Amino acid sequence: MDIQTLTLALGDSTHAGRRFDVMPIAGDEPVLQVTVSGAEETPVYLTVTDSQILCLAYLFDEQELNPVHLNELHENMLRLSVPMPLSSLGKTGDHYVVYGALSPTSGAAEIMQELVTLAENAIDLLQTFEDYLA
Amino acid sequence: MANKPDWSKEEQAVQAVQMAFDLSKDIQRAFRVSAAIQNMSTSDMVRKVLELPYQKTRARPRLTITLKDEDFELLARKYDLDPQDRATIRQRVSEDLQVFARSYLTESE
Repeated sequence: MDIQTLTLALGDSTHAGRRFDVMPIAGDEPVLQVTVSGAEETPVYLTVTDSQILCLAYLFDEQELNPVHLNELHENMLRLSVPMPLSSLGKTGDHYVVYGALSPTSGAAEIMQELVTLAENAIDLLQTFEDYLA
Repeated sequence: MANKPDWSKEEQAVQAVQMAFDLSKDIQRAFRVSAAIQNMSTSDMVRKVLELPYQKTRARPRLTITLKDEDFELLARKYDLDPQDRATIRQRVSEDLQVFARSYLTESE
């Protein structure tokens, strides 16, 4: 599934009653910003490589966290990452993220399922980790 | 860390997402600021840039805040007032907002 096909597929589809607003963001590597209806506060960024479709939502920056409880937060993130459906926790630069990766041969339905789950997980995680914010 | 496997292509993809995220934040900020300066809603500002029909002025420009019970509790503590004395609390809120606006306008000049 390439980015263009996916842009068209998402724009015309609903999944589990959710709609998708898709905004392509120009750059060396094409990236889509996908807003899932009902989870507008946590847009998902999606990019396709030869080996995976990477979907990623941003949670918070390192500067936003209370440094005193950083180790405890990391421990909780690692533990929560395992049972969390279809998503894992990670870090890129200073940003803490929740992400999911799919095979590049995945169909539109699987990708939509990932997007909905990821956006919902991101909202749940923001609430869960609220107390760690400075 | 020991020798890392070569995931440079994937790292590039992560970088691309990072740049897209930063760019979209900048774009959103630009639209929010330009909309505020032109006294428009952000969505109308987007429509204006795209040359789509939009509302020329805000239908009901207003500055209000909806205070919840817990907000009154916090404000009462801040102003050393009874939480039930909502009229006085609102009066103090209004005074604080005016002080902010006056100092903000002076600083911007």
